[in-house]
Amino acid sequence: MIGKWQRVGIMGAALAYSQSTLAEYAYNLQTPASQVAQDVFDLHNLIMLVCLGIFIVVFGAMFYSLLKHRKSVGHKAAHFHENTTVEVIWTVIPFVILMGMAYPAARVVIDMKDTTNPDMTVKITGYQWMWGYDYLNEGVSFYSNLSTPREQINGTAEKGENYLLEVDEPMVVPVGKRVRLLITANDVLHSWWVPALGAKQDAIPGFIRDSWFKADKIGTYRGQCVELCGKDHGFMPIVVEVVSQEDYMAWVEKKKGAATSAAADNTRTFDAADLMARGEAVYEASCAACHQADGKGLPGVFPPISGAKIASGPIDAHIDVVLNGRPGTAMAGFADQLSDADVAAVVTYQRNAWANKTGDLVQPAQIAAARNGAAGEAAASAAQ
Amino acid sequence: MSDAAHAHDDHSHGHPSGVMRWLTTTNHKDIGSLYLWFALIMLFLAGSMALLIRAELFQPGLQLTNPDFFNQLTTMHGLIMIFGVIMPAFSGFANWQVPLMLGAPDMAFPRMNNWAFWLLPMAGIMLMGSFWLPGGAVAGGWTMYPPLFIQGGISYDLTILAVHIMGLSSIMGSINIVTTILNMRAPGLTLMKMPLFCWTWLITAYLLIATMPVLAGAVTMLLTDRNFGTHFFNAAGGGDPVMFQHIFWFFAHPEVYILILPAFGIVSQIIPTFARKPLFGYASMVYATASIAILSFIVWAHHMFTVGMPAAAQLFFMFSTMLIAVPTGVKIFNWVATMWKGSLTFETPMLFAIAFVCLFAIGGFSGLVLAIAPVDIQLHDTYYVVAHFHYVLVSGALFSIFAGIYYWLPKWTGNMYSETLGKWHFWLSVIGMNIVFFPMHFLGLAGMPRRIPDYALQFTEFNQIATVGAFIFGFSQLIFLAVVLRTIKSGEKATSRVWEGAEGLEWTLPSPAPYHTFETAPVVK
Amino acid sequence: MGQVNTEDSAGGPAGAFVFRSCPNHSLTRPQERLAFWSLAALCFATAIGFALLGYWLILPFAGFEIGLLAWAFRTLRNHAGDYESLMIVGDVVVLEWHCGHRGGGRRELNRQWARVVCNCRTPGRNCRLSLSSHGHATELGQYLNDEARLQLAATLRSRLQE
Ligand code: HEM
Ligand SMILES: [Cu+2]
Ligand SMILES: [Cu+2]
Repeated sequence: MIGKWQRVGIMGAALAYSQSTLAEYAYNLQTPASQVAQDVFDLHNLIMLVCLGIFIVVFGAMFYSLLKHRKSVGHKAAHFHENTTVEVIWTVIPFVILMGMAYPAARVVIDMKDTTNPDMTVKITGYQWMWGYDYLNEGVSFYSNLSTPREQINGTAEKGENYLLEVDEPMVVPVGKRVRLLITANDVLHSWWVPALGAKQDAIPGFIRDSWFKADKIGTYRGQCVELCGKDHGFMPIVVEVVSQEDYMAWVEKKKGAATSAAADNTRTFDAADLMARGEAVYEASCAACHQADGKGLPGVFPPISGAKIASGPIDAHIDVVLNGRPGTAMAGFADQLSDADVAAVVTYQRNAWANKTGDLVQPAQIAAARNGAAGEAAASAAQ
Repeated sequence: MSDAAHAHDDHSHGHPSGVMRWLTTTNHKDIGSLYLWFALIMLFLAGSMALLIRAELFQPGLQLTNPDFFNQLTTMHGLIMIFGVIMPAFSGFANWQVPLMLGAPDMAFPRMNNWAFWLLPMAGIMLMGSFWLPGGAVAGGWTMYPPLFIQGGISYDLTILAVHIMGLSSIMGSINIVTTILNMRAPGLTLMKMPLFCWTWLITAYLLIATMPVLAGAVTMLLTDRNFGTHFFNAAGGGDPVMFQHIFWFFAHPEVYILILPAFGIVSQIIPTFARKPLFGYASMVYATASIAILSFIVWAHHMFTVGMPAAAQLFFMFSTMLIAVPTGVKIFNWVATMWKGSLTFETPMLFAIAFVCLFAIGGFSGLVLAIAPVDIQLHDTYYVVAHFHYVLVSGALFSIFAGIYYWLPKWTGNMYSETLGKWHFWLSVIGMNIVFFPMHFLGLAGMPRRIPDYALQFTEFNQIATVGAFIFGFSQLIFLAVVLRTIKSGEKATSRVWEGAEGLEWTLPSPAPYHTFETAPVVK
Repeated sequence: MGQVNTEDSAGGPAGAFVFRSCPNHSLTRPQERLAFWSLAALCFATAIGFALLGYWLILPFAGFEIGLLAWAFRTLRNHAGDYESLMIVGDVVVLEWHCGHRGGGRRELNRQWARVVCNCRTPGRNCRLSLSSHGHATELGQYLNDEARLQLAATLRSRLQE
């Protein structure tokens, strides 16, 4: 009775496992879109089949014994308790099987680690909680944030098709090109992973590690940060758009144009409404994750902005914290991520939103000045 | 015999009672029970956290927790299950059984034994209490990786302190076990005649002594980085966050064997009893255990394939990890061979032992898959890994603990447990456990990262199945609690041998085992 | 601790009652050396290895722990020759013992004056047994478990009253 039930369970398990070795993608690794991912896929299938074979033989024997060698069918216990030959055989055979697995695995390892001869290089930086991309040859740089609206996460709006796997600015690469990735982090560990491309690499602050992929098919590939990086670890996806060479060139041109107009913003003078509107958008994207949309922070973890001294005290100190962060805390510096216009807008917003009513307007030129005086300010903040 | 300083009254009445009796006890059976009760309480606490995690993951979106609290739950669930449930439970078995199996009246250092236990509740209270501190409990993962672990608040320091205390407790416990097993065997009981449970605990204690300073050092360096301006793990100050991972896993890979070797021991006691046949390949079991222990020191970086190490290092750690499958396989073959041509019966301990062999093997196979570096790079930090370590820890370590309790409880209490309830507990646990953890393989393969409070829509179905399983599994543990309480209070009287096929010194005593053991030293022929 | 005990009249003068016991001591010196030095080597090798890379805080913990281990093994070694014996010959009760670094001792009591004192912290458990005379007690049966100790107490009571 018992044996039968267990057998049913095992059969089910075995069936499920065998499914995973078929081309049923929901039960197996994602459809590969690069040679490395394909190699890993095949390797995994091979190992699964071997494991399944061993499982069936060993537990077939066990369940046979559970059925036939039970006391209730009158089986009398034998008394053997060792057999050197058998023991040597079942030590040596697994060893040989393992060697058979190790060989193809080693080939893939060596292939994956070979980052030479890239067609292009992209530096990827993990931040709490977004990704930054720098195209070293093209001079294009941008940040990539989760674009799923908060309402969908909180359940007040219908969830979209790519819920949690969509970003405002995807990484774009040309098809069939070897892309070398230089991966690092700004604050804590992150890990950059796109399953279909077979590339995963931890992002380590202070160190640059490399990886590579070559996408074989045009398409959109999605992944997520896979190293616990704090509160919004689950909310910093990765989207890679693989496009044709022409589309890629067009995209590069567009990004360069956008960069020029952003640069122009940095020399403009904005009025209060513009600053507040832009500031709110920047706040939502960069600050609200910790300090919360209502500016109240999370007690004990993240300090409030609403009603806080920093937002009513000297403007310079406020700008300094936004640009340079507070060392030793989760507050990172935004000097690299935000343009002068963005910093000006968000500081203005913080000083005039919620309970804060300073009436101060901060213009991009002030930020540029603060940046230029950064060396002096760094010394001043170290002395605090 | 030594001169007592002053005479005792013939009828002194200074019996400590209530709390004092338990606080001051140096008796190995009392301490064994204390360990087991502590583990059971912690199992329910950490289990409730798991249910909250699974409830949050029942559907996409955030319903019950916020992301920070979610991370606190996963972190504390992991820390408590490992340091507060599995390890103390095995220590409880060691305290009860090792002296009985060796024919010794108590442990080698009874007073140190008392201290080792009472440190644990202190650490447990600190860990649980940190939920109520500003900022909540630790949320950096049980692996405590910096720099994230450097960012947290006061509870992070408290957790480091708690880890130190638990480490000290383990060190004292292990030194006691090593010395007891080596020194207090009855005349004639040579090492190679010891029950396998003693062997596996001897090796476990050895691993603990070898690795505990590494854990203590690692968390101390986190503490000084956090509070005293050192830069051990801070790149800006010349340190290296990846070195923490090397140090941590140098401790923690042996630690995962600390969590499973005593289970091997328990199962190796149980299967022969219900197969009515001696353990197959006793000597090879001992050698396999020893080789697993030795190999466990050279495989740690298989947890770190994605940090970006040279190909040669990846290959080394891949091959060494694959090698562990050989002695692990030997053990499984030996258990199957022990059942082969036996005269099997299926009481609850045996059911759990059989499920252990079969399901632990699934965990071993997924371990082998993860040992293959290129595959691990895809699966690292996904639900596949979560499935792997729950197969080895729940259907492995935890099932062996259940098996051991059902097996020895009649000996300890003198009463038989209810076989009907035991079977209910078994079937609900096995079925529940597989419903929770089997679908996680598919989630990991499909690309769901671990430690996330919310997930993309394509992961919904398997997560829902897992949550249903979790509640089945979780609530069936109440049956276990009921069985234990009922057996202690009442129940059919157990015979001295309890099980028809039981062999070994501990079964020669009347049940319940007298408070101290052998009257005349047994001689093992 | 474990015990080997003999309770008969062999080993003493004819007609004497002799009780002798000593703890289990199965650890041989080579086993002790192997266990201790392999652990010490492993711990210090790891700790020194990491220290050379700049992560020196493992060393003090390794030192502390190996110190504790050394103390444990030394304590066991000190107690290797422990025993206790009691002999009743005629009207004299002779107690002899050896206990670790506290060394050995011997005491003679008059059978009529010797009183058996048995004191249990919890009923039937954690009992201490001693033989007392002239306000001075000598503990007995340390290497026995409670049952054996209680039984010894009963035996002694009847023997002393004979
Ligand atoms: C055949 C034996 C085993 C092999 C080859 C093996 C292999 C592995 C590998 C390669 C990983 C890393 C996965 C990753 O993070 O990417 C892993 C993780 C893990 N294994 Fe095993 N394993 C085995 C048995 C065990 C046993 C017996 C236990 C404990 C009882 C265990 C507990 C764990 C745990 C807790 C983790 C995850 C740690 C974490 O990242 O939080 N494994 N195993
Ligand atoms: Cu992350
Ligand atoms: Cu490991």
